[in-house]
Amino acid sequence: MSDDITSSPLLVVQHLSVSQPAAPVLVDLSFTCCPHQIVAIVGIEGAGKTTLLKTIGGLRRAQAGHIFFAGEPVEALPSWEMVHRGVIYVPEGMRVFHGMTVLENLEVGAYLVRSQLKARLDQVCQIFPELKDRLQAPAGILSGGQQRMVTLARGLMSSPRLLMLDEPFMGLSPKLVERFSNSFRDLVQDGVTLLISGQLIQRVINLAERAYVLEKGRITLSGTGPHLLQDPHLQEIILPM
Amino acid sequence: MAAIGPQVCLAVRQINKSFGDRTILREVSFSLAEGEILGLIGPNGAGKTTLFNIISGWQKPASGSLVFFGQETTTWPPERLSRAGLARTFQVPQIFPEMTALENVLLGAWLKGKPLPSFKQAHVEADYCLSLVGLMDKRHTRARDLPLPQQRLLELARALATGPRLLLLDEIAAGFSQSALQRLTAGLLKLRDQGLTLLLTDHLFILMEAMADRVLALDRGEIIAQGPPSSLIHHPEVVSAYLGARSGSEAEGAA
Repeated sequence: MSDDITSSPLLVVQHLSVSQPAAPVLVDLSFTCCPHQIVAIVGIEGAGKTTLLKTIGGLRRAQAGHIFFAGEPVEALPSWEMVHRGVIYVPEGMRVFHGMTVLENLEVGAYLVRSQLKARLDQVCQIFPELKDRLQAPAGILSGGQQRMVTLARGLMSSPRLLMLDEPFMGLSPKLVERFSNSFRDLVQDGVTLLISGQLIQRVINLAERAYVLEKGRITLSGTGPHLLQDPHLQEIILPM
Repeated sequence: MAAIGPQVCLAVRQINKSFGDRTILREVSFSLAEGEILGLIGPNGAGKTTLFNIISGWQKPASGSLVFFGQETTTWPPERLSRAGLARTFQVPQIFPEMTALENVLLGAWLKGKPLPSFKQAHVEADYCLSLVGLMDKRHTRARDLPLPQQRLLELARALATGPRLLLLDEIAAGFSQSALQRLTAGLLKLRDQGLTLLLTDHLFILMEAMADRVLALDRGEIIAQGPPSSLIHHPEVVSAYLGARSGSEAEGAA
């Protein structure tokens, strides 16, 4: 991986605004993501987290603002070009190609890095050993949690530089959440930068080096994990049961 | 007639299910009393959703039987079970994406009661159910435009609109914020107090602790433990198969 930890931010979002016909979704939003970090975007449902990740990934268009990836403006690029540059968006939920085998699903992820297919597959099977003996099974017959693994694994197959995970822990057992948290840290060691969104605020913030709190399309708080978790406003949002 | 405790709502007897050479459920048996909240936990791929599919008529067991309020329902299709008072939500919300929230819930409301309700009655019922889940202000929003957690709530509203006696919730709270979870829990407990029986599966153990009277732990298709939530959190087999070593210590529970 070419991203150097001492270099400038990998991702810079400046004054980004995104609107839907009815209402603004993201308002004048700015943040940065340094290489080899886990950065979290947290907030309650409807805060704009998914829209933000989709906009960075080229799946939505911003009405205003700029997005720079590795120093180049990318806000006008289509999603396939973002994938080509190593910006991968993994959607929430189970988004597999049901009629295709698990292996075929994973191969789709590696389409632009076909020469690395075997190495990618080995790495993914190490992180998700459950998938190893299901490679020839149609993805649609897997359990929900296993389909979630295929969705995450397909994103990893593409050799990402910036991996954006939307609600990565949704629908996973506590044991798997723990295991995946460790895997995400390993990925960062391997040179991947992670941008993670989630509503399990404490879980996601604990995992991240830096976190941003999104409320009604605006960043209202930011900081490092322990510092942020002490913030009284965040405590209000978390509302422990 | 003398009261002899709550009626059995659902009896699941020796259910077996395989897909090809993979055993999904093995001799699964339990019963659920009317008004009880039973939680179902287990690792991904343990067979929880398949069990839900069998109870709600979406899949048939290889062997075993189901008795719902005294009637054997093993071979009943989902629509017959729905009319009998068994409703469910799905892990991936099965909403009608192009319809509005209100139209989705109306489809549930039209199934309720005998004779079937009038258009006006169904509207009143649908609005009531939308308000129960906090989606009244989204009633004219196209279902596909709702964020995933709200699609789950919409599916819950549609299930409630059928007038269920037993409600099966398949990971209803996945992706919910803490505050949304708290509202959901309070709402469901209120419905239980009105007589609704609940069977729920979820990976948020705090939901089990807040709601379930009893929890069943499933692993590789077999029940490995059962009891109140507090007894399962330290159960060695449950910790090993499902919760993991660190789970008991975090504020977000086994989340």
